[in-house]
Amino acid sequence: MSPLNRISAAAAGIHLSDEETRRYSRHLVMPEVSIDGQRRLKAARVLCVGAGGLGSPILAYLAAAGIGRLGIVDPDAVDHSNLQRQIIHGTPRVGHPKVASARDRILEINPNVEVETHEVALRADNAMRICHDYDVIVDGTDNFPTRYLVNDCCALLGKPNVYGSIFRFEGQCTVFWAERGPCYRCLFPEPPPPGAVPSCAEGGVLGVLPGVIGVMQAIETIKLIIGLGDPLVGRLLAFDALRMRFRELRLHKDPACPLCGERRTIHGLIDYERFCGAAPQECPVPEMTVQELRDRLAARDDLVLIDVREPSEYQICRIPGARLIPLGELPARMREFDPAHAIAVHCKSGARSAAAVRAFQAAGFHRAKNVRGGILAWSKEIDPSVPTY
Amino acid sequence: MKILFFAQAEAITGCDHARLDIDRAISVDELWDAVIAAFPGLGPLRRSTRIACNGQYATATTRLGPADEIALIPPVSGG
Repeated sequence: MSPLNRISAAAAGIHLSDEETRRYSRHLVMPEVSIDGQRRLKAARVLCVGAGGLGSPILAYLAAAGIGRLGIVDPDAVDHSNLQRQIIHGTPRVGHPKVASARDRILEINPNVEVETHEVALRADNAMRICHDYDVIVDGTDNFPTRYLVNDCCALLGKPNVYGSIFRFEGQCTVFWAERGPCYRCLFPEPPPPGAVPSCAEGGVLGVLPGVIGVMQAIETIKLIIGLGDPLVGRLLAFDALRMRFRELRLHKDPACPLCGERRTIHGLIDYERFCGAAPQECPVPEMTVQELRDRLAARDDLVLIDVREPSEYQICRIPGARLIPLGELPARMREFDPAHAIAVHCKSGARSAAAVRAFQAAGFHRAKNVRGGILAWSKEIDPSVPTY
Repeated sequence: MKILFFAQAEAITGCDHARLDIDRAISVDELWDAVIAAFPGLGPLRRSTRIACNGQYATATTRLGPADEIALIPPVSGG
Protein backbone atom coordinates (compact mmCIF):
# COMPACT_ATOMS: atom_id res chain seq x y z
CA MET A 1 0.00 0.00 0.00
CA SER A 2 1.33 3.45 -0.85
CA PRO A 3 2.18 5.64 2.15
CA LEU A 4 -0.66 8.09 1.49
CA ASN A 5 -3.22 5.33 1.06
CA ARG A 6 -2.11 3.83 4.35
CA ILE A 7 -2.58 7.19 6.06
CA SER A 8 -6.08 7.55 4.54
CA ALA A 9 -7.07 4.12 5.78
CA ALA A 10 -5.63 4.67 9.27
CA ALA A 11 -7.09 8.19 9.61
CA ALA A 12 -10.65 6.88 9.37
CA GLY A 13 -10.27 5.25 12.78
CA ILE A 14 -8.52 8.18 14.52
CA HIS A 15 -10.19 10.02 17.39
CA LEU A 16 -9.13 13.46 18.67
CA SER A 17 -9.50 14.06 22.41
CA ASP A 18 -10.90 17.30 23.88
CA GLU A 19 -7.35 18.33 24.72
CA GLU A 20 -6.24 17.69 21.13
CA THR A 21 -9.21 19.62 19.78
CA ARG A 22 -8.14 22.65 21.85
CA ARG A 23 -4.47 22.18 20.97
CA TYR A 24 -5.05 22.00 17.22
CA SER A 25 -7.90 24.54 17.03
CA ARG A 26 -5.96 26.86 14.66
CA HIS A 27 -5.66 23.94 12.25
CA LEU A 28 -9.21 22.72 12.71
CA VAL A 29 -10.79 26.05 11.81
CA MET A 30 -9.02 26.11 8.43
CA PRO A 31 -11.12 24.23 5.87
CA GLU A 32 -7.92 23.16 4.06
CA VAL A 33 -6.86 21.20 7.15
CA SER A 34 -10.02 20.66 9.25
CA ILE A 35 -10.58 17.65 11.45
CA ASP A 36 -9.91 15.33 8.51
CA GLY A 37 -6.43 16.74 7.92
CA GLN A 38 -5.64 16.68 11.64
CA ARG A 39 -6.67 13.00 11.76
CA ARG A 40 -4.30 12.32 8.87
CA LEU A 41 -1.46 14.03 10.75
CA LYS A 42 -2.19 11.87 13.79
CA ALA A 43 -2.34 8.74 11.64
CA ALA A 44 1.00 9.57 10.00
CA ARG A 45 4.38 8.06 10.87
CA VAL A 46 7.37 10.24 9.98
CA LEU A 47 11.05 9.34 10.29
CA CYS A 48 13.57 12.15 10.68
CA VAL A 49 17.10 11.04 9.83
CA GLY A 50 19.41 13.25 11.86
CA ALA A 51 18.53 15.25 15.00
CA GLY A 52 20.86 18.13 14.19
CA GLY A 53 20.46 21.54 12.60
CA LEU A 54 17.73 20.49 10.18
CA GLY A 55 16.25 17.83 12.47
CA SER A 56 15.68 20.35 15.28
CA PRO A 57 13.02 22.51 13.60
CA ILE A 58 11.67 19.54 11.65
CA LEU A 59 11.01 17.54 14.82
CA ALA A 60 9.77 20.48 16.89
CA TYR A 61 7.23 21.64 14.31
CA LEU A 62 6.08 18.17 13.32
CA ALA A 63 5.55 17.38 17.01
CA ALA A 64 3.61 20.59 17.56
CA ALA A 65 1.53 19.92 14.45
CA GLY A 66 0.39 16.60 15.89
CA ILE A 67 2.17 13.93 13.84
CA GLY A 68 1.13 10.64 15.45
CA ARG A 69 4.48 8.89 15.45
CA LEU A 70 7.89 10.49 15.07
CA GLY A 71 11.00 8.37 14.58
CA ILE A 72 14.44 9.85 15.16
CA VAL A 73 17.68 8.34 13.87
CA ASP A 74 20.96 9.74 15.19
CA PRO A 75 23.99 7.96 16.68
CA ASP A 76 25.59 11.07 18.22
CA ALA A 77 25.63 12.85 21.57
CA VAL A 78 24.87 16.56 21.94
CA ASP A 79 28.09 18.56 21.59
CA HIS A 80 28.63 22.11 22.75
CA SER A 81 29.27 23.19 19.16
CA ASN A 82 25.76 21.98 18.20
CA LEU A 83 23.91 24.49 20.37
CA GLN A 84 24.41 27.43 17.97
CA ARG A 85 21.79 25.91 15.62
CA GLN A 86 20.39 22.63 16.97
CA ILE A 87 17.65 24.27 18.99
CA ILE A 88 15.87 21.10 20.04
CA HIS A 89 18.81 20.43 22.39
CA GLY A 90 19.29 22.54 25.51
CA THR A 91 22.64 23.36 27.10
CA PRO A 92 22.05 20.95 30.05
CA ARG A 93 21.81 18.08 27.54
CA VAL A 94 25.40 18.36 26.27
CA GLY A 95 26.90 14.88 26.42
CA HIS A 96 23.51 13.13 26.28
CA PRO A 97 22.35 11.12 23.25
CA LYS A 98 20.69 13.39 20.70
CA VAL A 99 17.76 11.02 20.23
CA ALA A 100 16.97 11.10 23.98
CA SER A 101 17.38 14.87 24.17
CA ALA A 102 15.10 15.36 21.16
CA ARG A 103 12.54 12.89 22.49
CA ASP A 104 12.30 14.70 25.84
CA ARG A 105 11.81 18.08 24.15
CA ILE A 106 9.20 16.65 21.74
CA LEU A 107 7.20 15.25 24.65
CA GLU A 108 7.33 18.65 26.36
CA ILE A 109 5.97 20.26 23.21
CA ASN A 110 3.29 17.64 22.63
CA PRO A 111 2.82 14.58 24.86
CA ASN A 112 0.36 13.13 22.33
CA VAL A 113 3.23 12.23 20.01
CA GLU A 114 4.60 8.70 20.08
CA VAL A 115 8.39 8.97 19.78
CA GLU A 116 10.61 6.14 18.54
CA THR A 117 14.34 6.61 19.00
CA HIS A 118 16.95 4.83 16.88
CA GLU A 119 20.34 5.57 18.43
CA VAL A 120 22.29 4.21 15.48
CA ALA A 121 23.84 5.47 12.28
CA LEU A 122 21.58 4.69 9.33
CA ARG A 123 23.49 2.10 7.31
CA ALA A 124 22.85 -0.18 4.37
CA ASP A 125 22.26 -3.09 6.76
CA ASN A 126 19.57 -1.38 8.88
CA ALA A 127 18.01 1.33 6.69
CA MET A 128 15.32 -0.75 4.97
CA ARG A 129 14.16 -2.19 8.29
CA ILE A 130 14.07 1.18 10.06
CA CYS A 131 12.43 3.11 7.21
CA HIS A 132 9.91 0.40 6.41
CA ASP A 133 7.44 1.33 9.15
CA TYR A 134 7.24 5.05 8.30
CA ASP A 135 5.17 6.89 5.69
CA VAL A 136 7.46 9.84 5.00
CA ILE A 137 11.23 10.07 5.47
CA VAL A 138 12.78 13.47 6.15
CA ASP A 139 16.48 13.79 5.34
CA GLY A 140 18.34 15.95 7.82
CA THR A 141 21.66 14.14 7.61
CA ASP A 142 25.03 15.80 7.23
CA ASN A 143 27.01 13.68 4.78
CA PHE A 144 26.86 12.42 1.21
CA PRO A 145 26.94 8.65 1.87
CA THR A 146 23.85 8.87 4.11
CA ARG A 147 22.05 11.11 1.62
CA TYR A 148 22.50 8.54 -1.16
CA LEU A 149 21.47 5.81 1.30
CA VAL A 150 18.26 7.63 2.33
CA ASN A 151 17.46 8.32 -1.32
CA ASP A 152 17.97 4.74 -2.46
CA CYS A 153 16.07 3.32 0.51
CA CYS A 154 13.09 5.65 -0.11
CA ALA A 155 13.00 4.88 -3.84
CA LEU A 156 13.19 1.13 -3.22
CA LEU A 157 10.41 1.34 -0.61
CA GLY A 158 8.26 3.79 -2.63
CA LYS A 159 8.33 6.48 0.05
CA PRO A 160 8.71 10.25 -0.33
CA ASN A 161 12.05 11.73 0.80
CA VAL A 162 11.71 15.30 2.04
CA TYR A 163 15.19 16.62 1.38
CA GLY A 164 17.05 19.58 2.84
CA SER A 165 20.74 20.43 2.96
CA ILE A 166 22.78 23.42 4.01
CA PHE A 167 26.19 24.99 3.48
CA ARG A 168 27.42 28.20 5.13
CA PHE A 169 24.74 30.73 4.04
CA GLU A 170 22.89 28.60 1.49
CA GLY A 171 20.39 25.81 1.57
CA GLN A 172 18.50 23.50 -0.76
CA CYS A 173 15.08 21.94 -0.29
CA THR A 174 13.04 19.58 -2.47
CA VAL A 175 10.93 16.43 -2.30
CA PHE A 176 12.40 13.36 -3.98
CA TRP A 177 9.71 10.82 -4.72
CA ALA A 178 10.75 8.40 -7.42
CA GLU A 179 7.16 7.34 -8.14
CA ARG A 180 6.15 10.90 -8.98
CA GLY A 181 9.34 12.72 -9.98
CA PRO A 182 13.11 12.70 -9.87
CA CYS A 183 15.22 11.15 -7.12
CA TYR A 184 18.48 12.47 -5.64
CA ARG A 185 20.50 10.42 -8.14
CA CYS A 186 18.63 12.04 -11.05
CA LEU A 187 19.90 15.39 -9.77
CA PHE A 188 23.32 14.33 -8.50
CA PRO A 189 24.33 11.08 -10.25
CA GLU A 190 27.84 11.22 -8.85
CA PRO A 191 28.99 12.35 -5.43
CA PRO A 192 31.69 15.00 -5.39
CA PRO A 193 35.23 13.73 -4.79
CA PRO A 194 36.00 13.40 -1.07
CA GLY A 195 37.02 16.76 0.31
CA ALA A 196 35.74 18.81 -2.64
CA VAL A 197 32.63 19.94 -0.75
CA PRO A 198 33.25 20.79 2.91
CA SER A 199 30.91 19.69 5.70
CA CYS A 200 29.36 22.18 8.13
CA ALA A 201 32.17 21.29 10.54
CA GLU A 202 34.74 22.29 7.91
CA GLY A 203 32.95 25.12 6.10
CA GLY A 204 30.80 26.48 8.91
CA VAL A 205 27.11 27.31 8.78
CA LEU A 206 25.00 30.26 9.82
CA GLY A 207 23.14 28.91 12.85
CA VAL A 208 19.70 30.12 11.79
CA LEU A 209 20.03 28.78 8.23
CA PRO A 210 18.86 25.21 9.04
CA GLY A 211 15.85 26.85 10.69
CA VAL A 212 14.72 28.16 7.29
CA ILE A 213 15.40 24.94 5.41
CA GLY A 214 14.17 22.60 8.16
CA VAL A 215 10.91 24.53 8.51
CA MET A 216 10.38 24.20 4.75
CA GLN A 217 10.94 20.44 5.09
CA ALA A 218 8.36 20.33 7.90
CA ILE A 219 5.87 22.27 5.75
CA GLU A 220 6.38 19.91 2.82
CA THR A 221 5.95 16.89 5.10
CA ILE A 222 2.65 18.23 6.45
CA LYS A 223 1.44 19.11 2.94
CA LEU A 224 2.22 15.61 1.69
CA ILE A 225 0.39 13.97 4.59
CA ILE A 226 -2.73 16.12 4.33
CA GLY A 227 -2.59 16.36 0.53
CA LEU A 228 -2.38 20.14 0.48
CA GLY A 229 -1.14 22.46 -2.25
CA ASP A 230 1.71 21.77 -4.65
CA PRO A 231 4.50 19.62 -3.26
CA LEU A 232 8.14 20.40 -4.10
CA VAL A 233 8.34 17.30 -6.29
CA GLY A 234 10.38 18.14 -9.40
CA ARG A 235 11.40 21.55 -8.05
CA LEU A 236 14.47 22.47 -6.03
CA LEU A 237 14.38 25.62 -3.94
CA ALA A 238 17.82 27.14 -3.46
CA PHE A 239 17.97 29.69 -0.65
CA ASP A 240 20.71 32.32 -0.31
CA ALA A 241 20.57 33.98 3.11
CA LEU A 242 23.18 36.63 2.29
CA ARG A 243 21.15 38.01 -0.60
CA MET A 244 17.87 36.87 1.00
CA ARG A 245 16.83 35.25 -2.24
CA PHE A 246 15.10 32.05 -3.27
CA ARG A 247 15.58 30.48 -6.66
CA GLU A 248 13.42 27.69 -7.96
CA LEU A 249 14.91 25.17 -10.37
CA ARG A 250 12.88 22.66 -12.31
CA LEU A 251 14.17 19.10 -12.06
CA HIS A 252 13.49 16.21 -14.37
CA LYS A 253 13.57 12.51 -13.88
CA ASP A 254 16.75 11.21 -15.54
CA PRO A 255 15.82 8.36 -17.94
CA ALA A 256 19.37 7.02 -17.40
CA CYS A 257 19.08 7.09 -13.59
CA PRO A 258 20.47 3.76 -12.32
CA LEU A 259 17.92 3.75 -9.48
CA CYS A 260 14.63 5.01 -10.93
CA GLY A 261 15.29 5.30 -14.69
CA GLU A 262 14.31 3.08 -17.58
CA ARG A 263 17.22 0.66 -17.22
CA ARG A 264 17.75 0.19 -13.51
CA THR A 265 20.99 -1.30 -12.33
CA ILE A 266 20.53 -0.62 -8.60
CA HIS A 267 18.07 -3.06 -7.08
CA GLY A 268 19.22 -2.95 -3.48
CA LEU A 269 21.31 -0.88 -1.10
CA ILE A 270 25.05 -0.63 -1.81
CA ASP A 271 28.23 0.34 0.04
CA TYR A 272 27.74 4.11 0.32
CA GLU A 273 31.05 4.94 1.97
CA ARG A 274 32.80 3.31 -0.93
CA PHE A 275 30.44 4.90 -3.49
CA CYS A 276 31.29 8.33 -2.10
CA GLY A 277 35.00 7.56 -2.02
CA ALA A 278 35.24 7.72 1.76
CA ALA A 279 36.52 4.15 1.91
CA PRO A 280 40.29 3.74 1.56
CA GLN A 281 41.40 4.25 -2.04
CA GLU A 282 42.51 1.15 -3.85
CA CYS A 283 45.85 1.29 -5.60
CA PRO A 284 45.71 2.49 -9.21
CA VAL A 285 45.70 0.00 -12.07
CA PRO A 286 47.66 0.22 -15.36
CA GLU A 287 45.79 2.34 -17.88
CA MET A 288 45.73 3.22 -21.56
CA THR A 289 44.15 6.26 -23.17
CA VAL A 290 41.40 6.04 -25.77
CA GLN A 291 43.89 7.38 -28.35
CA GLU A 292 46.25 4.50 -27.59
CA LEU A 293 43.34 2.08 -27.82
CA ARG A 294 42.32 3.48 -31.21
CA ASP A 295 45.86 3.17 -32.57
CA ARG A 296 46.30 -0.38 -31.32
CA LEU A 297 42.92 -1.49 -32.69
CA ALA A 298 43.85 0.06 -36.04
CA ALA A 299 47.24 -1.70 -36.02
CA ARG A 300 45.39 -5.03 -35.54
CA ASP A 301 47.99 -6.27 -33.04
CA ASP A 302 47.15 -8.97 -30.52
CA LEU A 303 45.15 -6.66 -28.23
CA VAL A 304 41.91 -8.14 -26.84
CA LEU A 305 39.25 -5.53 -25.97
CA ILE A 306 36.70 -6.48 -23.30
CA ASP A 307 33.58 -4.47 -22.39
CA VAL A 308 32.49 -5.22 -18.81
CA ARG A 309 29.25 -3.22 -18.89
CA GLU A 310 25.78 -4.74 -18.78
CA PRO A 311 24.01 -5.97 -21.94
CA SER A 312 21.50 -3.08 -21.72
CA GLU A 313 24.39 -0.64 -21.90
CA TYR A 314 26.05 -2.55 -24.72
CA GLN A 315 22.78 -2.12 -26.63
CA ILE A 316 23.03 1.64 -26.33
CA CYS A 317 26.56 1.92 -27.68
CA ARG A 318 29.74 -0.09 -28.15
CA ILE A 319 33.32 0.22 -29.30
CA PRO A 320 33.78 -1.84 -32.49
CA GLY A 321 35.67 -5.07 -31.77
CA ALA A 322 34.85 -5.16 -28.06
CA ARG A 323 33.73 -8.43 -26.47
CA LEU A 324 30.91 -8.04 -23.95
CA ILE A 325 31.55 -9.79 -20.63
CA PRO A 326 29.57 -8.13 -17.82
CA LEU A 327 31.71 -7.61 -14.74
CA GLY A 328 29.69 -10.15 -12.74
CA GLU A 329 30.46 -12.91 -15.28
CA LEU A 330 34.16 -12.15 -15.57
CA PRO A 331 35.52 -14.50 -12.86
CA ALA A 332 33.82 -17.49 -14.46
CA ARG A 333 34.91 -16.57 -17.99
CA MET A 334 38.51 -15.58 -17.39
CA ARG A 335 39.75 -18.90 -18.66
CA GLU A 336 38.60 -17.89 -22.16
CA PHE A 337 41.70 -15.70 -22.30
CA ASP A 338 45.42 -16.32 -22.49
CA PRO A 339 47.50 -14.60 -19.77
CA ALA A 340 50.16 -13.92 -22.42
CA HIS A 341 47.79 -11.68 -24.38
CA ALA A 342 47.52 -7.92 -24.06
CA ILE A 343 44.07 -7.10 -22.71
CA ALA A 344 42.25 -3.76 -22.63
CA VAL A 345 39.12 -3.48 -20.48
CA HIS A 346 36.55 -0.72 -20.72
CA CYS A 347 33.20 0.19 -19.16
CA LYS A 348 31.17 3.41 -19.14
CA SER A 349 33.61 5.69 -17.36
CA GLY A 350 36.41 3.51 -16.00
CA ALA A 351 35.46 2.37 -12.49
CA ARG A 352 34.06 -1.10 -13.21
CA SER A 353 36.84 -1.79 -15.71
CA ALA A 354 39.41 -0.88 -13.05
CA ALA A 355 37.87 -3.56 -10.83
CA ALA A 356 38.06 -5.99 -13.76
CA VAL A 357 41.75 -5.20 -14.33
CA ARG A 358 42.42 -5.88 -10.64
CA ALA A 359 40.71 -9.25 -11.00
CA PHE A 360 42.77 -10.04 -14.11
CA GLN A 361 45.97 -9.05 -12.31
CA ALA A 362 45.09 -11.27 -9.36
CA ALA A 363 44.62 -14.14 -11.81
CA GLY A 364 48.07 -13.60 -13.33
CA PHE A 365 47.11 -11.53 -16.40
CA HIS A 366 49.91 -8.99 -16.13
CA ARG A 367 49.24 -7.33 -19.49
CA ALA A 368 45.67 -6.19 -18.61
CA LYS A 369 45.05 -2.44 -18.78
CA ASN A 370 42.11 -0.18 -18.00
CA VAL A 371 40.80 2.15 -20.73
CA ARG A 372 40.81 5.51 -19.00
CA GLY A 373 37.45 7.31 -19.14
CA GLY A 374 35.68 4.32 -20.73
CA ILE A 375 33.27 4.61 -23.61
CA LEU A 376 32.40 8.17 -22.56
CA ALA A 377 35.98 9.21 -23.33
CA TRP A 378 35.88 7.20 -26.57
CA SER A 379 32.73 9.07 -27.63
CA LYS A 380 34.13 12.43 -26.65
CA GLU A 381 37.63 12.08 -28.05
CA ILE A 382 37.58 9.43 -30.76
CA ASP A 383 34.13 8.82 -32.23
CA PRO A 384 31.34 11.33 -31.45
CA SER A 385 28.87 9.13 -33.35
CA VAL A 386 28.95 6.76 -30.36
CA PRO A 387 26.03 7.94 -28.19
CA THR A 388 26.57 8.62 -24.51
CA TYR A 389 24.04 7.81 -21.83
CA MET B 1 26.73 34.43 -21.11
CA LYS B 2 25.95 35.01 -17.44
CA ILE B 3 26.97 32.22 -15.07
CA LEU B 4 25.66 32.13 -11.48
CA PHE B 5 27.73 30.33 -8.84
CA PHE B 6 26.06 28.69 -5.86
CA ALA B 7 27.41 27.21 -2.64
CA GLN B 8 30.90 25.72 -3.04
CA ALA B 9 31.16 27.09 -6.59
CA GLU B 10 30.83 30.60 -5.16
CA ALA B 11 33.33 29.78 -2.42
CA ILE B 12 35.86 28.56 -5.02
CA THR B 13 35.45 31.40 -7.53
CA GLY B 14 35.02 34.11 -4.92
CA CYS B 15 32.11 35.65 -6.84
CA ASP B 16 28.42 34.95 -7.15
CA HIS B 17 28.41 35.35 -10.92
CA ALA B 18 30.67 35.84 -13.92
CA ARG B 19 30.26 36.64 -17.60
CA LEU B 20 31.85 34.41 -20.22
CA ASP B 21 32.50 35.64 -23.74
CA ILE B 22 30.45 33.09 -25.68
CA ASP B 23 28.74 34.10 -28.92
CA ARG B 24 27.08 30.88 -30.07
CA ALA B 25 24.98 28.02 -28.75
CA ILE B 26 27.16 25.45 -26.97
CA SER B 27 26.74 22.10 -25.24
CA VAL B 28 26.94 21.47 -21.51
CA ASP B 29 30.37 19.89 -22.03
CA GLU B 30 31.62 22.93 -23.94
CA LEU B 31 30.29 25.21 -21.20
CA TRP B 32 32.19 23.23 -18.57
CA ASP B 33 35.38 23.48 -20.64
CA ALA B 34 34.95 27.26 -20.81
CA VAL B 35 34.05 27.64 -17.15
CA ILE B 36 37.00 25.53 -15.98
CA ALA B 37 39.35 27.42 -18.30
CA ALA B 38 38.25 30.61 -16.55
CA PHE B 39 38.07 29.10 -13.05
CA PRO B 40 40.36 26.02 -12.86
CA GLY B 41 39.39 25.50 -9.20
CA LEU B 42 35.96 24.31 -10.33
CA GLY B 43 37.45 21.24 -12.03
CA PRO B 44 36.85 18.82 -9.14
CA LEU B 45 33.14 19.75 -9.05
CA ARG B 46 32.52 19.07 -12.74
CA ARG B 47 31.30 15.49 -12.54
CA SER B 48 29.05 16.03 -9.52
CA THR B 49 27.48 19.37 -10.42
CA ARG B 50 24.50 19.87 -12.67
CA ILE B 51 24.01 22.95 -14.82
CA ALA B 52 20.73 24.84 -14.78
CA CYS B 53 19.71 26.97 -17.76
CA ASN B 54 17.03 29.60 -17.18
CA GLY B 55 15.74 27.78 -14.11
CA GLN B 56 15.66 24.30 -15.66
CA TYR B 57 18.24 21.61 -15.13
CA ALA B 58 20.06 20.99 -18.40
CA THR B 59 20.45 17.53 -19.91
CA ALA B 60 23.34 16.23 -22.04
CA THR B 61 21.55 17.48 -25.17
CA THR B 62 20.57 20.97 -23.94
CA ARG B 63 22.03 23.80 -26.03
CA LEU B 64 23.08 26.86 -24.06
CA GLY B 65 22.82 30.23 -25.82
CA PRO B 66 24.68 33.51 -25.15
CA ALA B 67 21.51 35.12 -23.72
CA ASP B 68 20.77 32.26 -21.32
CA GLU B 69 21.28 32.54 -17.58
CA ILE B 70 23.32 29.59 -16.42
CA ALA B 71 23.61 28.40 -12.82
CA LEU B 72 26.17 26.02 -11.31
CA ILE B 73 24.60 24.40 -8.27
CA PRO B 74 26.94 21.91 -6.59
CA PRO B 75 25.48 19.45 -4.09
CA VAL B 76 25.77 20.45 -0.45
CA SER B 77 25.56 17.93 2.34
CA GLY B 78 25.31 19.83 5.62
CA GLY B 79 22.46 19.25 7.99
